[in-house]
Amino acid sequence: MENLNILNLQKKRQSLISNFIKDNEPDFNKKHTLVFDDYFKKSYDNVIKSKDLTSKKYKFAIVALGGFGRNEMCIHSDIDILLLFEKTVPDIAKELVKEIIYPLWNTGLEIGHATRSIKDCLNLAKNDLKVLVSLIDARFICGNHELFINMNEKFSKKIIQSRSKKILTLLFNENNKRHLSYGDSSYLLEPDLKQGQGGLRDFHMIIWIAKIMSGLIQINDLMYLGYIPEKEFDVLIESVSFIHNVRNRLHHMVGRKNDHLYMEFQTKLADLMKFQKQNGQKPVEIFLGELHGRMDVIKQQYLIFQSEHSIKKHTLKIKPFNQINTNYCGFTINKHNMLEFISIEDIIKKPELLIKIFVLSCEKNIPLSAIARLIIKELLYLIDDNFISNKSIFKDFEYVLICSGSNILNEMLSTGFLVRYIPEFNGIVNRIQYNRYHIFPVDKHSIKTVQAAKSLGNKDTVDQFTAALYNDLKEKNLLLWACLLHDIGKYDIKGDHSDIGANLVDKILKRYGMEDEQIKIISYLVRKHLFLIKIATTRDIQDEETIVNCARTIKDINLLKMLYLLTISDSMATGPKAWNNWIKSLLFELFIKTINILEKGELATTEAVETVDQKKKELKLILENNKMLQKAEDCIKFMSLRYFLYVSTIDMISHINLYNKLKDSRFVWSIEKDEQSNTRIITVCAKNKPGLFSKIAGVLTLSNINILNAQIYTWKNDTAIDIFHVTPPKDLIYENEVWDTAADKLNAVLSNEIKLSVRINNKIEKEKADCSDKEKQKLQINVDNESSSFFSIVEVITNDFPGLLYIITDALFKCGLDIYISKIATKIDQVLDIFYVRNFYGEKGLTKKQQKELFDNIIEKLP
Amino acid sequence: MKKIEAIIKPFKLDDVKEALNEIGIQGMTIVEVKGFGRQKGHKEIYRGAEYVVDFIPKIKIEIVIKDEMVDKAIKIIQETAQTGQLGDGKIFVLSVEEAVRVRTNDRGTDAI
Repeated sequence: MENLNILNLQKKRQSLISNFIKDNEPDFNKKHTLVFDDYFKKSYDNVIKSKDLTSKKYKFAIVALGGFGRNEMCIHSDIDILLLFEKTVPDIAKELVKEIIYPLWNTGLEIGHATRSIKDCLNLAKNDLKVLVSLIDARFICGNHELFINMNEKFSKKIIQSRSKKILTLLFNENNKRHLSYGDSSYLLEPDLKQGQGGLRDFHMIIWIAKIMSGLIQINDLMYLGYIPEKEFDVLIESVSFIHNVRNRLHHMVGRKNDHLYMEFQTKLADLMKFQKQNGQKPVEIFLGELHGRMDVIKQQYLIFQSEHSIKKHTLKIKPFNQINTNYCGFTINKHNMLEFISIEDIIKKPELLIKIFVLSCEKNIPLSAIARLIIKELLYLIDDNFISNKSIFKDFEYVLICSGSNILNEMLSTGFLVRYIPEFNGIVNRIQYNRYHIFPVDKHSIKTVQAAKSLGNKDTVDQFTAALYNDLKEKNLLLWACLLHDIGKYDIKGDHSDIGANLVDKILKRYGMEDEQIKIISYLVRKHLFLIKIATTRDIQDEETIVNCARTIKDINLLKMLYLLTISDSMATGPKAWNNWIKSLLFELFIKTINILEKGELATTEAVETVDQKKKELKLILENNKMLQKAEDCIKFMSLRYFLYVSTIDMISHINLYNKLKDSRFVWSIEKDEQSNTRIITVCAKNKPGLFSKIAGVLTLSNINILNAQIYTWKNDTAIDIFHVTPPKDLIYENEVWDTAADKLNAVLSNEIKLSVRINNKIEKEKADCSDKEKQKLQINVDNESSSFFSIVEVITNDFPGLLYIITDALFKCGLDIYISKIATKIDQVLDIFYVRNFYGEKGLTKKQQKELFDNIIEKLP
Repeated sequence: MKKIEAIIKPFKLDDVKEALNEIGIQGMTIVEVKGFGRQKGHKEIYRGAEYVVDFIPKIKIEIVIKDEMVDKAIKIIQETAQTGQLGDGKIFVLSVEEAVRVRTNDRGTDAI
């Protein structure tokens, strides 16, 4: 007979499940529960007859606990049963369990059963929260009803009512712990339908709290007893129903109890539940958006319950508002210390109260009550064009944006206020981005970005430096607006959301009467909010060109600072993959180098930017006219920024021509006469090598050519362009021969055929001797390791001396330094030589030892 | 079978990935790491204050390939990842004893 009972159960279950899968069973959980109820009732009848237990001695009841007790049997839910006896558990209980419970094991479901007397129940409930909670959900199935009533009454009086405060506190603590363990970002990607924040457990908590406080009988009592207003109750029930639906489908798909919606199940579930592609979003994204929306409803409702009913250790003593300040009239505080409107008519007369309540909530750090939130929802229609263009209301909104603590903006969102006030926000509400990188839906992420930005002011969030940057900002509201709106362009997957967003921001903020200057800044920040990260991760930030280009793009120091802070906030609010130590280092290095360039001016001023752009255009034009356009593109690519800044376009052309002649030779040069000053201009083009400069200088000295000025540039393809202004050779008649000889010497030196040092040292010694009657040379060397992020700047100031340049550049070379850029100037007999150097590894930074070595090397050679 | 571990500058990742793809190496593991050799920590100076950046972000690429591919792979990684400046990184080659494809239980070179 038992077999028949079980078979019946299986049959009914299967039929229910297949109806559910076909979407034909809206009330699955309830009916599923009834199927089991039937089983137990039949089982009870059978066992009473077979064991002949009609005597009162063995009165017992079969009671459903937990989810079973709540009529919430999902496809693979556990079955929790209590066999309740009166005073003691008799021996026959074992038999009963065998007859009633054991057959259920064949169904593959998890059965939990307890055999207890009334006293056992009470004692266990006193000490074990889990037992207590399961008894709160207890439901009589069959057997001796009186017994159950008895137990329930005693349970209610002795366990619940006498210790309700303590139990509530315990429950909330347990729940907070659970929220912490299941609040991890991974659970946002793969929600746990039961334990996660906004999961079914939160809903159960609401029921338990209400049951503990009012002994509520059925779910609708939540509404009837005034815990939740009707509309919100309907939404809550619908959300719970949706989640149960998902849960059942998940159970069915996996074939066992599993409440964790892992990524691998998500797409399939979305298809099974017949979600369609919409607005460029995949079905799975729509599905997850709806799921998150529902879970959010439950979470918010739970949070309200928690703040209304958790026991506060101390009650805030707050004066009635009317007495504090007329600014606050229209509001009051209810007995749970939450804000409420005084009258709805007032709001209709003065719609600004709708924003004022949020302002007050911020100011006094008091949350809004459930009723207040409901009223706001009902009165959203009051937010019309007048409301939106009202400047004082806008000021209030900005206040909330800037000062609010963690949840106010979210409350604005969930009451619908935010979307009503900024309609474009609707495009990103619950918009899910389906990948492991983005944890939050776009609307939540935007709000989180605002909060992250505000947290930067605390040195413990990132570091002292960032905190100072944030705190020093003069217009924090601009940054926070950018945070709130930076992803507003994501309402559509087509197009670049940064650009779309920036254009939208323009339109949005004009509406509130914001100043154009400010709108421009916010729009720019939104447009560029991915710029810094992109550069930091895809470009060589050790290369000065990268940094200068970054600086030239941003141009303004204040903008750079805000962009940096926006980038950090956006990353923090995206998820752990987006913000970690690794990214932080890269971003910081980029920022520091860029701000140094911007603050030192020179390379990245507006003028500099314009000059370079102008020259590039000119160059292209000339080369085009000379049919050398292809060369133009190539050359422009590897000419360095400094070169563009300081060299004239005409000279650039001749340098390019020179470069074309270089090919495989060690160097090429051109020598021109400067008519005005009767000097010569030697332009050397060579493959850059350490010591190149000093070798050229040395050869010129050996040829008795005096160097007056020099500039050296290094192109990105390691080509050196060294320009020397020199005195003409002493032998003017045979000048060309002098140059030819010099060229041969240079070739020989570069190929290491001649040792330059020996010859030149002899010459220098000779010169030194000739000067012995003059004063000892004064030598001053300044080393700047700080001004540039890329080079050490060495300044040499001394009196001119034949071969001086060779001496200096040779000394630099001997100290292991490579010259990248150089400016040599001679004024009468004073020489100022500036060298931008790095060591042979490409590092900047001269040690004190190196500086001394440099000084000693030079001074030794001077008279 | 050999495992190649290459530590390179972050911005070179895409280039190296593409270059490896072109010689037929598709699968790889990427790790964000920190490290330094001679590059050491360096200081950034801003308004007179020093900020030590001793945490130098790098990317580690790990690939397991047949012995015949090793020389090609090393050459392509070295050439692509090079900038000529300090901190370009290093490449190491290790021997692999066994490889298994989890899905099919293929062993040895069939698994890579």
